[in-house]
Amino acid sequence: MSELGGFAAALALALCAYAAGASFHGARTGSPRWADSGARALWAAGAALTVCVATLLYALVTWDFRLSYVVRNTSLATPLLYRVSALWGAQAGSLLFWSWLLALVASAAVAGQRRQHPQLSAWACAVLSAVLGFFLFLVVLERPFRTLPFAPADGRGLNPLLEDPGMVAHPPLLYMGFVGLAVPYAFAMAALVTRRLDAGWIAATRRWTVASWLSLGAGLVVGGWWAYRTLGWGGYWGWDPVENAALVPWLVATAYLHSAVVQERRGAFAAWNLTLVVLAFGTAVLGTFLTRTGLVVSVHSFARSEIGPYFLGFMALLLAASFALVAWRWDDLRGSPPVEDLRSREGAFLFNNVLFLSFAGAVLVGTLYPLAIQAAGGPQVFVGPPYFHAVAAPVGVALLVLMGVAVGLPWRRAGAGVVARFRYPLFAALMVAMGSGVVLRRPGVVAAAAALSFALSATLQAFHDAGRAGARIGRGYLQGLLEAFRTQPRRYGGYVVHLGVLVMVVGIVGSHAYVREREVTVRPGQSFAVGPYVLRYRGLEAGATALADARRATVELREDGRSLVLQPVRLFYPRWGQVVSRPAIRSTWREDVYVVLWAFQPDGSATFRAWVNPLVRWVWLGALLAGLGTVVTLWPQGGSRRAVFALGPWPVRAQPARDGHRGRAVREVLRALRSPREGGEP
Amino acid sequence: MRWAGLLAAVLTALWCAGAWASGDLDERVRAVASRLMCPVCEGRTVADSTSELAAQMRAVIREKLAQGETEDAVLAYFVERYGPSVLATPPAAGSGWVLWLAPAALAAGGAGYVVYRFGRRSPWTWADDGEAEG
Repeated sequence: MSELGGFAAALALALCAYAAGASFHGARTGSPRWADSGARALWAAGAALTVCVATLLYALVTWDFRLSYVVRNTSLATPLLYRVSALWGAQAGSLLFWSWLLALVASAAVAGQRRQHPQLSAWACAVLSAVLGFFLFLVVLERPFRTLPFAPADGRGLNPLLEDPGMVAHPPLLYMGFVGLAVPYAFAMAALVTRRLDAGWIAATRRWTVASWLSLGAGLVVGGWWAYRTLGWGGYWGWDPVENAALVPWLVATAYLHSAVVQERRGAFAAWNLTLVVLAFGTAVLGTFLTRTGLVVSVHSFARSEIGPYFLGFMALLLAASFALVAWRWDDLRGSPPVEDLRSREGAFLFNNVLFLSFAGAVLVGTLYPLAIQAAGGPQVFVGPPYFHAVAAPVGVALLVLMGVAVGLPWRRAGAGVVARFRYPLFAALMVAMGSGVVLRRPGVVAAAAALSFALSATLQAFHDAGRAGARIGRGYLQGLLEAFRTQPRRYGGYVVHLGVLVMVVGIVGSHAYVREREVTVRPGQSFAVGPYVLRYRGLEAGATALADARRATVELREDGRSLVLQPVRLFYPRWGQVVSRPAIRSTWREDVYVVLWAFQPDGSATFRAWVNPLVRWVWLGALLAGLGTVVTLWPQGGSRRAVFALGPWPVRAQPARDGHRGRAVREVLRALRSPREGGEP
Repeated sequence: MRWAGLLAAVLTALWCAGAWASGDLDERVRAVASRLMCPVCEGRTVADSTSELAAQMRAVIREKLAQGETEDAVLAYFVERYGPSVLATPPAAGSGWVLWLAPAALAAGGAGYVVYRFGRRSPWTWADDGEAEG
C-alpha cells in the first residue's frame, strides 16, 4: 500500500517535469503535438496524485498503523470524519493535498482553455507544471508514506482542537483559494511571453480568480467561526500570523478583481494587473510557506519542518522571474490607454487598489516584523491586535466611503453634475453621524457608522435605479431588478457582495467596540453579572469522552422572566496535556452571551470568563450574503441582446438622455442586430 | 439649508469630542490586557489568552487600575518584569518606526502617485460626460 503511494508520488513528479518541458517546447516552437503531449502529461500527473491521495486516505480510514503519518494523526478513537480530515491535519499530508488540488485545478484550467487559446494554454501549462513540480518535490521530501519498523496497536490521534467540523472545511477552502490563484498567474505569465497583453488572459481566467477569491474568503470566515465556537477566547479573529498569511493574498486578490474590471472594460492598467496577479499568487505561496513551515509563532503551528529554505528559494525565483518577465515586456505594456480623469469609476478603482494594497502591505509588515527583528539578532517582539486594529480602522472607513463613491461614478469622466447623485447617501451619512454621535459615544464608531450608511445608501440607490428603470418602461419594479441581475450579473452581483460586506462591518465594528467581559470565581448557587445579564452558577458535572476528561458547568441565564441553561465544557486531553474550553453561546441578532468554564476547584466552585459580544451574528450573515453575491457574479451573462431591445442600457433611461448616450444605445442595438450570436460583456 | 448642515456638522464634532470619556474599569482592564502579550502562550494577548498566568496578569492590571495607576504605568510595570517582548505591539521608537510608518507611507505614497500621474488640472465642468455602465 505505502509502496503504491510513494511510487505514485514519484511518478507524478516525473510526469510533471515532462509536462513542463514538453509544454515549454511546444509553446516555444508552436508545435501543437508537443503542447498536447504536455497537457496530457499534466493530466496524468493529476491522475497519479489522485491515486496517491486515495492511498493515504485509505490508510487513514482503515487505521493502517504501519504508516507513520497515520499513527501520528489518528487513533482508534478518531471518528471517520476526522480520519478523513487528518489528510490535511499535518505537514506531509497537507502538502500532498495542496499539490493534488493544484493538479486538479491546473488540469481543469488547461483543459478548459486549450481549444480557445492554444498558445496561451501551452505556456500556462508549462508554468503550472513547474509550480506543481516544486510542491511535488516537497511532498517527496516529506515522505507522507514513510513506514515504521513495526506497527503500533494504536495511534496518537489528531490534535483535539482540530476535531471540529469547522476545521474539516477551513484548510481545504484556504488551499483551494491559494492554488486557484495559480491559474490567473500562469495565464498572466503566458500572456507576457506571447505578447497577448489585451484583456484576453483576464477574461479567460476570471472565473478561476473569482472562485478562488470566494474560496479564500470562505476559508477565512469558516476559520473565524471555528475559533469563535471552539477556542473559547471570546473572539473570532486574533490577527494571528497564520490568519494574516491567508488574509494578505485575499486582500491583494480583492484589489486585482477590481482593477481587472478596468482592463476588461477600458483596456487600461495592463502592467498593473500583471503586477497584482504576481503579488496575489506570490503572497499565496508565502502564506503556504508561513503556515506549513511553522516559521511564525502561532496557534496554527501544528506542524513544523525543515523545508523552509527550499520554500524561500522557490519564492525568490518565482518573484524574480515574474517581475523580470514584466520588465522584459515593459515596452508592450506602456501602450495601454491612460486614465483620463480621476473623477471616474476607474479613478475610484485606482484608489481602491491603493487602499487594499496598503492594508495588505501593513498586515504583511506586521506579520514579518518580528521575524526580521529576530533575524537581525534583536529581542523577541510581537505585533499583536492593537497594531492591526490601528491600521484596519482608518483603512476600513476609507474603503467604505470609496465603496459608496465608486457606485455613483461613471466610467471615463464624471461631470460636476455627478455630485447630485450623492445627495441621499450624504444625507443618510449626516443623519447617522448625528444620531450615532448621541448614542454611541466613540468617534471611531461614529465615523464608521456614517461611512457605512453612505456606502449602504449609495449601493441601495444603484438597485433602486435599476428597479425604477424597469418601472418607467412599464415592466414593473421587480422585473426591472431581475432584469438587471440577468443582464449584468457581474455588476449587480458585485453590489450584493458589497451589501454583504457592509452587513459584516456592522458585526465587526459592534463586536470589537462594545464587547463586555467578566472574569469571576463563584460557588454553586451564586450569581454574577456580565453586561446587562445575570448568570447563576448551578453546578458542575464530571464526565469523560473517549480521549478526554470533561467537566460541564450548568449556568442559568435569566432574561425577561424566562431562564435559559448554558453549559460550557472544559476538556482535558491527557495524551496531549491539552485543555480545551468549549464555550456555551447564546446567540441573538442583538448580541451573543459567551460563557467559558475556565477553571474549577475541588469544592465545586468554578471560574468563568463571560463575554457579551454585540452583533456577532451579523458577521456570519454578511459573509453568507457576500458569498451569494459572488456566486451571482459567476453566473453566465445571459440575454444581453434582448435586454438592449427591452430596456436599453440602464442608465440611459435613468438619466436625462444626452446625445452621446443615445448614440451609444443606438449603436449597441445595431451591433446586436448585425451579429445575433454576439453576447457576452457589455 | 446649508447653515443647518454646517450646524449639524459642528454639533456632531462636539458630540464626538465629548465622547472621549474613559470607560468603566472592565473596559480599561481589557484595553490594557489587549496591549500585552501572554508570556507563556504562543501568539495570544493577555486579554485573549486562556492560560493561568494571563488570568493572574489580568487580576494585577485590575488591581493597579483600581488603585488609580495610569494605563501606561501598568504597561511599564509589566515591561520591567517581562521585558519589552511582553508588549503586544512594539512602541513607535527605534525600529518600531518602520512598523508604524509603513501603512501610512504606503497609503500616502500610493495615493500621491495616483494623483500625480493621473490627476487632471483642468477645471471641472458640467459638460464633462461619463460613460455610464451599460
